[in-house]
Amino acid sequence: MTLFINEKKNTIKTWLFTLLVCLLWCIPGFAQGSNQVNENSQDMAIKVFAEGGISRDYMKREIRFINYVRDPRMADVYILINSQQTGSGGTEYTITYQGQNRFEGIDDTLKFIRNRTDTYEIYRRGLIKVIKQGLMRYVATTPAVKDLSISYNPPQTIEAPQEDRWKKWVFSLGFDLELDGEKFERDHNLNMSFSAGKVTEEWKFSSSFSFYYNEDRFEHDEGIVKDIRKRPRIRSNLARKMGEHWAVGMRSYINSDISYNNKLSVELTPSLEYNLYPYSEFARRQFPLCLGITFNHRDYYEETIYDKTSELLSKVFMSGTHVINGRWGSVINVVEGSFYTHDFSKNNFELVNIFDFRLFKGFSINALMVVNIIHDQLFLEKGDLTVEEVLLSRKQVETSYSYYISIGFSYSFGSMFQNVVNPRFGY
Amino acid sequence: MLLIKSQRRLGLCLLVLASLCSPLWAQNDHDSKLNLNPVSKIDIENRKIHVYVSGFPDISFLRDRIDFALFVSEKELAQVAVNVEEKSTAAGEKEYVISYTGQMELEGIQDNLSHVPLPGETAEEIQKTLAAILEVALIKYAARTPVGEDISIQYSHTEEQVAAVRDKWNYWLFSLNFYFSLNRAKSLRGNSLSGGFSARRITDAWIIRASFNTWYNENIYDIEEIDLSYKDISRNHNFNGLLVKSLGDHWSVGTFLEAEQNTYYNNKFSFELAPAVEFSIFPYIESEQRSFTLMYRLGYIYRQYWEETIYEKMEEGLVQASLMADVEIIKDWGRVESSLTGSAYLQDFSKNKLTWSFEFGVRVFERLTFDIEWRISRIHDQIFLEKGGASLEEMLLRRKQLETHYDYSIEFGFGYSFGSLKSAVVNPIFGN
Repeated sequence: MTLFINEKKNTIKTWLFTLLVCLLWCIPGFAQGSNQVNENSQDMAIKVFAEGGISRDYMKREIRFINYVRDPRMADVYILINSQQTGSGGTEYTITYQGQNRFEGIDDTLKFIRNRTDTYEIYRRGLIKVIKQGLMRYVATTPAVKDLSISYNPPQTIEAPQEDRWKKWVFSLGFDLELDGEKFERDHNLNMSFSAGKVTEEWKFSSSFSFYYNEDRFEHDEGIVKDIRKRPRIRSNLARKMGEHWAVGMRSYINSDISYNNKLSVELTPSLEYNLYPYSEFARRQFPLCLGITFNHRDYYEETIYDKTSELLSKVFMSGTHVINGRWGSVINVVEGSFYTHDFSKNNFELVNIFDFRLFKGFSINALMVVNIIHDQLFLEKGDLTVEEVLLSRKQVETSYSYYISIGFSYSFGSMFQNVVNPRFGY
Repeated sequence: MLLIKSQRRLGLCLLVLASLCSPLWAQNDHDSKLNLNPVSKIDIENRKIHVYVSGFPDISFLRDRIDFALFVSEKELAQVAVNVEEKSTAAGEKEYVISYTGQMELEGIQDNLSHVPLPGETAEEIQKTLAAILEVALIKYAARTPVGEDISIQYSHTEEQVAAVRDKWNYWLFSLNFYFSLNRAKSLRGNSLSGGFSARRITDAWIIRASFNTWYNENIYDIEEIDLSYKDISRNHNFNGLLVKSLGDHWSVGTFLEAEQNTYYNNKFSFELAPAVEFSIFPYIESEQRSFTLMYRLGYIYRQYWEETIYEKMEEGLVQASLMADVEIIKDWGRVESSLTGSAYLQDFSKNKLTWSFEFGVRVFERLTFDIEWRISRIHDQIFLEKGGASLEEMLLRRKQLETHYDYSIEFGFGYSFGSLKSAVVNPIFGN
């Protein structure tokens, strides 16, 4: 007992000593003379808060005629960059400028396209150029306008408009190999894929084949544990837009996955989508509702708890997805429900709610909630799982529910300016 | 003998590293675009934004100044019609209102700006300022047409000027955060809790940062049928301090101060005070494009262990020296990043570790991208390992560092695409 108390006292002493050293160490920081300087044009520069799409440090280096603030409420101009995939696998960035304070009501929207094969440098240089051009209107009436010089470099060559001989078809091949290991443990995986697709204003078609292979190996005194997983998949989608709110589609999916006792599953799903907002506003806000029916034939690795080794099923599902973001934060809500047509009691309900609210200056609250009510684990195999299978999450465990809830907040106070990039010591 | 061998290996590593970085000094890749036609003067003029200006006294002044615009004499031919109007404010001052009206494909885009000249400004000065405002705000329209690509904007300033914005908090920023989560299913109960506080002041001259973070996670597995009842707990509390003083464009000195408790490294309590010096081959200001830094760090470490170590220690004090080289280059053709870190305990040089990481991503040509990445370590410094080793559960859940003398992680990938790679159609139905 005394020994324990002594140990405890020692621990406390060590921590107190550490705290003292830490505090002493901080002194040079607080001793920093206040760097108050005379008024200069930077004080008059517009205050900007930008989020999404681009590295903040890069932006600070490239655009110097503005002040960077840490909360959208402190800004004269709030910039939001949303992105969407283009038909060729590139990215379309939508840059929204929202004027506040003296720029109240002065809003703007610009677009930038990153081609599928553009490297990081080409993309960020192009995007920052557009962001900068969009800021000009706000800077025009500030003293900084005197220090700006606009240069014009006419192109030497122009890409001739030409007929698209590929008729909007895009094909791609991918190969990834990842090997990790040390003396008693290794984790190797391989991913291969091939895809073909065509996207027009009305139609959308994509088809892909992928194969994923993973091998984990643990060597322990109690024996060697090996976990091999193979996941081949063939997926195809065909959909057609019917006006600004409606779309119809057909999806097929063939796959195999040991986690779900699934030796071979073939699915065909016709479905109907209705978007509450027009599709043209998709980058900013989206609320698609979907209704469909899945016809599914399955072969199992092991006989299921319902004495099946294969079965033909049909499942009706409905889902709603709401995504919106802005100066106040962002929200994603997903609700999905399904039931099997041969037995309504075999059903499933899922609710996902993710939000991040900026409640007031410097304060934000975020939460993630995933709730599953599960009554449709038709694939569960007879017999018991092993401890290894559970700990490695190799196989699904029987349950009638699962939920995950997390909640957090962050609060910042102090300097509102974030102009400096100081890369020393890898900071 | 061994020393010579490892020196050779180190030399070889450096050589490979240097040779792989050589494209860094090479010129940007050539335009590999197809179907490029030389442009005629007429193409250039047509590409410019067509502007009709009224109310501005001297159009030729604008014409000389704004070379990305074509000034047309008929309003119908313009993409933007600009009108400058002189008014007087309630206070009797002169005010100029510049209004923009988008036409043709820019239809519907309106804008108004106003400018009040300072008292005593000459007509010539006022005209110059108005022209500057007119030009700068016109870019909003030009950005929506092809000529936007041909316009670049420079800002003349000094670094001091940008950094020296007045701030009543003297650049100090404080943040705190808290996070809680729970995870439930029939056979699993998980709880996780974390929180932290940080204070920092980042200026060009100094970096001061201190943060305290704490994290706790537990997962309880319970399946009667297979006799599984296991409680998995991990914890990490740490204090991290960094103080750096800039010494010109290439040098900096600083100290790291760290205190930590965690379960992964058998660490009941550790404390480290490590002064360090860093040299940057390229000026720090270029860090977003290229950086190449060398750092030497000498730290005193005190450690207490949860379980007795394989060297029969419950606590110890150590001095560790480390040397790090870091390179990062971002170019049009792709990016390279590499670092080499060597460290050793001064009490026993054979307790050392060498880590080399490398990342290289390149667009070989228009359709082919290639990525490779690795991190390899030679490890001889796991003095913290506990005698008993890890249980099978701890191993499968990756909750404890295992004994090893090497560690690797290699990733290799390529992507090849062909077809209409420039198609910019966006069709959001049924998601992406």
